[in-house]
Amino acid sequence: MSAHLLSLIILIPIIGSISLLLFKERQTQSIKNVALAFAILQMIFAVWLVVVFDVNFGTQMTDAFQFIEKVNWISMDVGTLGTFNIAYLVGVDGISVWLVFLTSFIMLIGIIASWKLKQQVHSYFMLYLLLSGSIVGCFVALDFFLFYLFFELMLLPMFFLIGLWGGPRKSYASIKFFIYTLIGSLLILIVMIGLYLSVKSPDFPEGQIVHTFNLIHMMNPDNFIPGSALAMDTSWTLFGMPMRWIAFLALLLGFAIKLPVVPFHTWLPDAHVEASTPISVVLAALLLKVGGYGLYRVAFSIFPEAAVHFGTMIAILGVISILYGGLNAMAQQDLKRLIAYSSVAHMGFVLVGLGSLTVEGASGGVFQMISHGLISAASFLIVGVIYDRTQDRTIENFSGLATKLPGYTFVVVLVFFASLGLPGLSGFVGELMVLMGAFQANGGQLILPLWIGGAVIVGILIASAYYLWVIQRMFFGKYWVREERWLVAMKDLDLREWILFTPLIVGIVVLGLYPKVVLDAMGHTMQLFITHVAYYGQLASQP
Amino acid sequence: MIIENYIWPALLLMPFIGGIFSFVLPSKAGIVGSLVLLLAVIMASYGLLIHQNSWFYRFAWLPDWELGFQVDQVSVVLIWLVCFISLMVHFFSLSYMNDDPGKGRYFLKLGFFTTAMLGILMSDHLILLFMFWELVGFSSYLLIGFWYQEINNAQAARIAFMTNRITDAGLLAGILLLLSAGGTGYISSIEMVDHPMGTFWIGTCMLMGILGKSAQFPFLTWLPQAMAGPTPVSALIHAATMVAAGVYLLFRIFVIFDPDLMLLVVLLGILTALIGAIAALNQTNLKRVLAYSTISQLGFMVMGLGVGAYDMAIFHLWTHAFFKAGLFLSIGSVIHYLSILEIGGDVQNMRHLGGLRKYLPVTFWAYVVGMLALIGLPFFTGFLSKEGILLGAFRWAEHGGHPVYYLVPFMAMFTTFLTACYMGRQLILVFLGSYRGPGVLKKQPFLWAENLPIGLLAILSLGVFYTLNPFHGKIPFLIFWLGTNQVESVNHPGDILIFSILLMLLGLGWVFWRYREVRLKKWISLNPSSLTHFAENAFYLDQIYMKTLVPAFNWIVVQTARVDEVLINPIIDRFAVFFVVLGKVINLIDKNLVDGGVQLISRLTEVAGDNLRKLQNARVQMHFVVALLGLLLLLLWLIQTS
Repeated sequence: MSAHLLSLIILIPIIGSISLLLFKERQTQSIKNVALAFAILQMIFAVWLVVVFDVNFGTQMTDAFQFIEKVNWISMDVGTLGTFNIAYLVGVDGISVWLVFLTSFIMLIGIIASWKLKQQVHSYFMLYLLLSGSIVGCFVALDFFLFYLFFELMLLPMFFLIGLWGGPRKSYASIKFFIYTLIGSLLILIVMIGLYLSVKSPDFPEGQIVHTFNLIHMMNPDNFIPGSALAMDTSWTLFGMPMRWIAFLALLLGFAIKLPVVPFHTWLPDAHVEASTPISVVLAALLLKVGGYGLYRVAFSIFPEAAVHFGTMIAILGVISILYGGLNAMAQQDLKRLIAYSSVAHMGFVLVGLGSLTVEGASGGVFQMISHGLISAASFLIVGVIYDRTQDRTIENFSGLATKLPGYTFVVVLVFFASLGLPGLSGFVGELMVLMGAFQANGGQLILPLWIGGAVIVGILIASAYYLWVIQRMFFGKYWVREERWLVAMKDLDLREWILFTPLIVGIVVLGLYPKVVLDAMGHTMQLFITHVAYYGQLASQP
Repeated sequence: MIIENYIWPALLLMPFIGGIFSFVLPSKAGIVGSLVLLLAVIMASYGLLIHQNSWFYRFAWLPDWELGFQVDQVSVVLIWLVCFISLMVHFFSLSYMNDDPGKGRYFLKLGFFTTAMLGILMSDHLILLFMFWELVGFSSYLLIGFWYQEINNAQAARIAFMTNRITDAGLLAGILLLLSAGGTGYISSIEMVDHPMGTFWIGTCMLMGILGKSAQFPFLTWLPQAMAGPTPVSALIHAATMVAAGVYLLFRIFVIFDPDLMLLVVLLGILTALIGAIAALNQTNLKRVLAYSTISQLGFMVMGLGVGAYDMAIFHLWTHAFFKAGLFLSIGSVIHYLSILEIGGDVQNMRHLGGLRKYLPVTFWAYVVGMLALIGLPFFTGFLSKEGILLGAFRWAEHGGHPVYYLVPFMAMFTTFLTACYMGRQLILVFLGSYRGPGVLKKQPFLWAENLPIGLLAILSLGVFYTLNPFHGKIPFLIFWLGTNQVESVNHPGDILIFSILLMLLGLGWVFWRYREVRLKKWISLNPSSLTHFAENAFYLDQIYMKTLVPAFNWIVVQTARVDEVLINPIIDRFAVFFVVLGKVINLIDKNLVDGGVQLISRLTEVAGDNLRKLQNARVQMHFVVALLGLLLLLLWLIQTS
């Protein structure tokens, strides 16, 4: 059974989506129940996956994948171009296994958060489950074509989920979301085709050239056809740079839009403000992570020498995101926009961590993705609580909520302090490890200039400034809300909301106190990854 | 001994667990907390008695990263101190917070603080210490803002946390730089490192954290504002323990400071001591006098560490904790007494107090003992520790090689004079003379829960517990527990000793003359001069920050926020417009082709086109496909030609 675990985790929500066709539009309660059942089922398998996952599996980057399933999907002879070969190839390593777990966890939370939805319930949950399957697919695909397929498949439901169930400016937001991601996708597509044409599968005898989309094969520079556009020894240049660097930058830009990185981030606040609460949760907690994961899985792994060359630049981009996102968050009046900008800042840590090219830094970056998955989900649910009650989320319209909603205030203080990096909660661990990487705290040779680490620390301070400011303005002082009619609706968290927050808070605290739960698996994979990048990075720099 | 493996971790967690019980059972809130703390004190005493060797415990927190706990002679003493003061404060709060609806929450936060503070003292690894360091700041935030309905309290809490956070950032940077330079993170084996950046920067960054936590210049403005919290909290956190954490850390890591930095430490310490004392002398708020006094005394400790009298600095930390906690609790009982009477007015304003010794005799006598100890007169603990620091300063100046170094010990002398002044002033304004406020004072029932801790803390401020010869500095306690050999150097040279005692008496005498009954009447109605204002506001440091740094930061925020709207979004919007125009052009071509084409096909296309046009977004996807196909063709062509 565990041999097909990954396929099951992908397929369960997709089957669920299709099975919803059997229901009529007005059977809203049954639709919700079925969606919930499928999400729980997916969660069970995800837990199983984590439990049976072997932490110390593999000795190098390319053989560290577990639960591999391979089915040849499209194989076509195209004459002089060799054989067209696309496979259904999935597998997980220590990074993706946790992202899969996070996905099924957050998708389950999202279903509970959508429980009160009233319009177009039928299509909503169909799209929602489809989205769930495609996100997992994206995290486990080891064939570039398959990855790209899931990557694009993800956009489709997301586009409609924002555009149909969103706020007043939903069409503007969804178009903006689409244009941005379209550009990103195009860049990734170009590189994908280029890679396909440059890589031959080593599974076939010498002389026979079989092109492949296999990501694992692409990670090994020996599999590139000598003289092809993206081979290590390529003589192709563009703007005076080797083709491989160009390809790396294209991937970087493509995934940077997704992450998002300043200045490609302006779709995010708009999308968040217009999206409904559960969709915001999914968007922040999972979709952004695809960007970070793509950088790790595709860009860095396939072009290690370019990663080494551009490492500092990537870290600088991260620093810009951290500072710029933080300062922008400070200026927001709308609580949801504020959290959206804080997401931009938090994703900057991922870039700094990856750019530091150390085990601590890169693990910290990925840990930050997991931790931000929990914290941002909780943050957007927090906004949802107040929005459900008042249809408003302007910070200055509320004051002294702590008096009236003590349980809610407890959750807010805990989550916001996790987000600003209080030790003992998960946000701190990611930030600390990224800083350890930036400062080369293991005593290794310094790669990044020291001011980057300093700027990251300043970024953490900005986060404290706006979160404390929000807490003071909305929760402390005399109890007051702008509209009199809101007074009736102002009740503390109900059972459903506690069910939403409790697992997230438990996750935040557990990861904060004992990060090794996640880091044991992650650290091993990261060790292999950094070794891989450093090895080929050095190889390329030798004349 | 194997039992230590259980004692210390249990001790660390107990106060927090006790706090949780208090929260769950609000009716028994303080009682559970106090009992747990009592047990903690017993355990700590046991630890103190059996303690032979240092206790170490290391654990892997991150892969390949070990953190560790340790308890050595210095920690064990301070652990006992924190447990004891915390017990006193818990006990006092039983009465003080009895009528507060948030009692359970209060004791939860108090317990959480105690655990975090013990964590600092038990940490061996700097990263672990940093984590507890931040948690201490966080619990301080929660407790300052305990009465959050008053927005000023919330504001004070935020400023305190933010200041701490900024300086903690320096500490973290220092720790990381130290690790980056190949230094060890373990406090027990910390040593100087060679670093291209120079040890100066590592030390400076870490010093920043110390200055912030201990409210030293230039980060001293948060502590007076922190008085917004309940008074027992001020006693525990903002007088006896948390603010002393900076001094404790300085004691642990000063070996990695280079000489220039140590000079800076001395100067900052003495400057803070002086500013704090001058500000304290001009306060009218009851608690702020003690807050500035704390700042001043912490400056004394920092200076003491800087001049090399580090055992005396730690000893002063110890003695100060008792008498300052005692003083704060005394003031707390004054505030509580007045608020029970419900006479209205600002009960913390000393202009409207006076004559309280008749109504609160125990508090009065405890205050007198605490005051004499703080001033540092013989027979009280403050004398022993303060004289040690003063002598250390003189010795340091002697070795300095230049007469200008003597400024430091003389400024320290002057500070002790000022200490006598402001403490005498508060005694007069609060307890002596006759009551000047509104309403009539009445005797109130004797509150055991308040008077017991006050009395106990006062008794422990008597010098007789440390040495039988009040003028002899050979303190068996220190030699035994701190394991230090420096103590014998405190063979008091008579002239300095006599001079400083005379200064203190002079200060007391001056202040009794200055605030005698006849003049007091006039002083109360007097408008303070601008010089008084300048001193009262601690040289306007806070106002300077609020008028320069805060607007500067806000300006940056506003400008950055505009970039999105002014720069980035227009580009994206134009891009969208471009797409629409492109779509229109293609649409035109489409239509013309249709007109010239076959009727049937044109008919079909038109229908399809009409339908497609309804789906605004389909247009974009269409271009995507077109662009994709074009690209594929281009690439195929490229491959073919290559």
